[in-house]
Amino acid sequence: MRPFRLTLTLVAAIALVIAVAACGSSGSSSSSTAAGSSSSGTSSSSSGLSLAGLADTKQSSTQKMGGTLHVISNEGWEHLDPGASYFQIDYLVVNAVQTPLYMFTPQSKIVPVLASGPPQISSDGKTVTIHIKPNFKWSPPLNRAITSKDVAYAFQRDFNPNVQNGYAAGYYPIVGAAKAAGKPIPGISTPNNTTIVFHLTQDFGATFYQALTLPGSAPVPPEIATADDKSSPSKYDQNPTKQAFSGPYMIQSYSAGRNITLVRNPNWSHQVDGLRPAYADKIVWNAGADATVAARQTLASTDLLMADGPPAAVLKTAYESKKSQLSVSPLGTYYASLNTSVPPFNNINLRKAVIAAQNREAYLLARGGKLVGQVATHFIYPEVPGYAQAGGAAGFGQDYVSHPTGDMAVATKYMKLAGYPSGKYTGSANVLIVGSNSDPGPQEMQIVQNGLQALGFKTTIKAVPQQTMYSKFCGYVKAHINVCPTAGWIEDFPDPYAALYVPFSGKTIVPINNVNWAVLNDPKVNNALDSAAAISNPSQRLAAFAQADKAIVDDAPAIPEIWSSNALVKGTQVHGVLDVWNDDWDLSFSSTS
Amino acid sequence: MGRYIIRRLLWVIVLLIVVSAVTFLIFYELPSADPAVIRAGKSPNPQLIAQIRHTLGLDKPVYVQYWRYMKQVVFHFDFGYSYQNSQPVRQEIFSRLPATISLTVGAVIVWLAIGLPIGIISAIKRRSFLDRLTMSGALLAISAPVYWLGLVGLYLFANDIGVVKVFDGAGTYTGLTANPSQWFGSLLLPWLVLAASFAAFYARLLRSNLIEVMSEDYIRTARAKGLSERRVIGKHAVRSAITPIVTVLGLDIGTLLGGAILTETVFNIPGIGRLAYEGIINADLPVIQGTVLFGAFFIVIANLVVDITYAFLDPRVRYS
Amino acid sequence: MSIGASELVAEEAAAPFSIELSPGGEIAARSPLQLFWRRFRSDRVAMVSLGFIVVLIFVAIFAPLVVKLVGVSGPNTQNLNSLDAFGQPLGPSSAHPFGVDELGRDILARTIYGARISLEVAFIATGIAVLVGTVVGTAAGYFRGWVDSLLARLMDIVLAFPILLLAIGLASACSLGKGCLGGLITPGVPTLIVVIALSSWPYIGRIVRGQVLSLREKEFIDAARSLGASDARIMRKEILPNLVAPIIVYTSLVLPTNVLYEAALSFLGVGVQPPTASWGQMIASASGIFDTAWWYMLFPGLALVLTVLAFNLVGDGLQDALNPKTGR
Repeated sequence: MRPFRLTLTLVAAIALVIAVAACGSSGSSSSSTAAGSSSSGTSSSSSGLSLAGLADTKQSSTQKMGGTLHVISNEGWEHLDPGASYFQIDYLVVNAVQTPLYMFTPQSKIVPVLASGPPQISSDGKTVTIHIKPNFKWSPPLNRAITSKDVAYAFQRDFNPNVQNGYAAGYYPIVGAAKAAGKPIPGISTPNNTTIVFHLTQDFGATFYQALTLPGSAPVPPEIATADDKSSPSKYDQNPTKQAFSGPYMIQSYSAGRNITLVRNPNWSHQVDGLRPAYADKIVWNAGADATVAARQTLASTDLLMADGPPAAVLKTAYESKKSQLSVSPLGTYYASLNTSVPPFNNINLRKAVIAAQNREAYLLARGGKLVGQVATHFIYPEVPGYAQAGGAAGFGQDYVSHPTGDMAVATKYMKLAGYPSGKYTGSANVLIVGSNSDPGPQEMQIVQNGLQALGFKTTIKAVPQQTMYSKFCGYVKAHINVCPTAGWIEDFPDPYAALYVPFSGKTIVPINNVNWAVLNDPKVNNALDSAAAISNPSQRLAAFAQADKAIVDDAPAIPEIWSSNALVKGTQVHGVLDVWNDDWDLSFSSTS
Repeated sequence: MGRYIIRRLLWVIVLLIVVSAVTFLIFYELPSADPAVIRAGKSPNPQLIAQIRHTLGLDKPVYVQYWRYMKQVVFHFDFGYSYQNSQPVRQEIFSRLPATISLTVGAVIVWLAIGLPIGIISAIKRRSFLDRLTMSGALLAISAPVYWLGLVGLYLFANDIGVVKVFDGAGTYTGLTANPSQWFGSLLLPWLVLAASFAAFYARLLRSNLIEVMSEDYIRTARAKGLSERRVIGKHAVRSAITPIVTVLGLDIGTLLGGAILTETVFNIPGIGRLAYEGIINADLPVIQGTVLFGAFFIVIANLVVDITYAFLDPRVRYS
Repeated sequence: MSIGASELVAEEAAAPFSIELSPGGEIAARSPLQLFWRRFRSDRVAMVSLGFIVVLIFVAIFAPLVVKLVGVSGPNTQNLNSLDAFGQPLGPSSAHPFGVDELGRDILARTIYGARISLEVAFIATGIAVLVGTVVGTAAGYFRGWVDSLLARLMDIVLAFPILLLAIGLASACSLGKGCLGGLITPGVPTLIVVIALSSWPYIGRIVRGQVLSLREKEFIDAARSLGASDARIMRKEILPNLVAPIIVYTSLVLPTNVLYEAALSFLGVGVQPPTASWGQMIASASGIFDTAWWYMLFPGLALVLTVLAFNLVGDGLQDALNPKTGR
């Protein structure tokens, strides 16, 4: 789980493909493995933009081996160390050069890759045993067989502060891990070279299993990394060409933020892997390109894949004349949190009035219009199972979220309930809005401000770097930020737990790096989330999470802005295969033709 | 002479120390991303953060932190690691240097090639139509901000989006060694745009210097001796009028080598200015520190070179 | 260190500073200001430019009224119907003669309001820089010795910073929280003013110092001194009046640079906070979509160029008036 880092280029969720077109047609199935129906042939009834004819981004039998795959992007990489990697485009590389225990197929089916089969979970759910394939080998020059000790070391690293892992503490409740700080973890044992046993502090069964698809579970050889991991930050991240590789490719050259070249790993074979076809012989990726230039270049090319979303202006061109090179898939939710713990928004009716007064269509336009999403009405978003149960696009029908362009009559009603008979706020609070200073952050802050001013609020805007927004303002509870409109959330798993729990459960509130930006601590919501998480029957589980979602919307802790989509472009000839769960290309599945 | 140079060098060191200390203080105040929090991961416990703060020395008073930083810089030439991507800042700066040098050197050549002849001709043909035209143009060029000129240039002439497709567009920069012809093509428009205001400034400066020099006695004497106008201007007037320009040129080059933030931003050239800008956008303290120190270094060195050159040319300076 | 010319506004925005000014002592000895003004008045281009600036000042002061008279929507009114289905702004139309921006706000209105920030910051920052520069420069030039060394070194240090970088850092540091120096410099316009003043005063300081150094050798100063006048009196009564003309000229040269400076800082995103309109910030927002929304980049840019040009023309005029030798 993680907050959005930048505009549209984030790690995304594991998800089932739900056509973007779920908007408007609330009956659209959200839990089928929609291989083959991804974003094609459906259209959005409310937008007037047809998504028919978009690029075909699934695997096909006509794909050919060989050749060089060319990738281009605006964003550069952050961390290619499998232990630190936690960013959408980093995943593109890491998933091609490393091998986690489990992986999701492009169509979001979980399959064992380094593991030889599904995990064996004890009856109390606290002991998880996994066997790994004996015939995976490290890339040259290491060349030796990959063992369970390499996996154990990877977990040891995940809890080493020098490695900077972003999720281990939340997903791997392993006995003694929290205090390991880089030393061996007491709760992990390796009885032999192909077996690893995890002792957990709680029954976390299904969630733990799915979290083993994250790159933090990919093996790391201690003989190479131990020395690097002693320095802070770990040197293993600084020169990725020196890493040992377990995936189909190796990093041949790397220049931070500029370019990377991947070549085949001679010690990897498709037979052993069982999942990744690895069509291309070589992958050359240039980053740091101007987004507009890169997008235009990609559209004009035969062989380019662009790894991040094109700017809206180019999107428009692509939509109008090069639809077969454009693809759109759901990403996550953007919302503007309203801090429920401090005045004025500790008043629930004021929160409802604010939501009602907002023109939420404006958020959509600020991000590029209908192709990049739809107005949100609740918090389980289209690619997450449970979306249909939560009412689909229409949601639960609360009057304050059912007018996408805002409704002052509804807003006035709640202002009166809040104790402001004139319908205007007359209190003394100055609403502090903090958001990211990179586009469209400033626009979003001004949209929120516009809605607040219509209700008579005095406001102050503070535009800061995205990192600072999380570390010093929105994620720092004591800063008491009233509104954080550029925050976003995407889940790591195709499970509503991952979409709702961290941002809305009162139990997750922490003083720093807090993600419950609304500081919502409602026992009703907490209980609904906890009890839903304990259900194992899939349909009952989804229904229970839908109820939790309703309880959250009832609390009005945030203005649901948009359910965002990721639009991607490619050259005319290249066969790009989309990882639905990462909302981006999968380099091991894409081919030059 | 030797003593003079030593004195100047000592002053350079003092300057760099002061600049680095002030920078450190300013950016220390900047609420940047907290490295301890970044490293602690999601839902960290306070003890872990405290422990990381201790390991990184963040719990020490600011002067101790500054001392440690400077020790690393001076003795190991180590500027720390980027918070953003863990790369050594030194390596980041060096990998960006070629782009900045390419931009600067090319622009200098362009502005001298345009600015100096215009300045001389305008001074000779003073009050002529040509003089008025070029000087008006120069004033306009000085008044236009480089980033806007860059956008207009791209809008009109870039070969991807331009009305008339002449130059390579933004973001096409390639290293000189990787592809010389694309390197040249991609920098042509940035050179012209960056050089515009400098060329204008140098033309104005040279013109007014020349006009002043030409009213001096020794020029009149040279004329009276019957030397050709060409010789008078070429040999005597221009030579003395150009001296102050050399000073300015040195300083301008120093400043630009520290990073042409605006030009590099508009044309998306991966130089030091762009690195600094990205550092600020991402609140990446070590990168900001490193680039500011580097920029200051170039400015101070340029000053030093100019002063020493002057001292050679004019012995009086040494003893002042 | 020697006087740098174009180093003001550290990089691209080359300052129209020069060594054109010869010591103004001889001229100043005779009723300097009168002569000065008479010469300036005869410069038609400069007078027209001055007129433009005066009009601009009025437009800035009465911006709400002007916007109402022009009949466009206010600078912060978001007209979503002026955006297309992709959220792209639409171009010039009768309702929005300069088109709209990415939030559907009228660009004409925002350009008019942008003049406020531009002029406010440039005038106040220049004022402070001139004040500080004059005091420091006079003290350094008059007392010489260790005072001079100290102050000259101080100016050297300020000038050794990569100014634009430092300004960005300072501005972003002061734009967060309650401001910096314990809340003395609050975010927004005050921060911009302080940052710009801080980096431009040494230029005035150096010029003034040079002038004072040559002035204090003049006979009339010796005369005053031999009559027993105090240092303070000599500086105030004898030296300062002779500095007025050169200070005016240099002020007129620093002003346009500071207009550009403010715009550059706003362009880099460290100026005033949204939704306040500023030209640099508008150009920055436009730079992402300038190939389709040309109007968004064009009009604020033109406003900026014309303003700076007008200031520069007035500056040239003043300079010629002060020192007709270099005249055009």
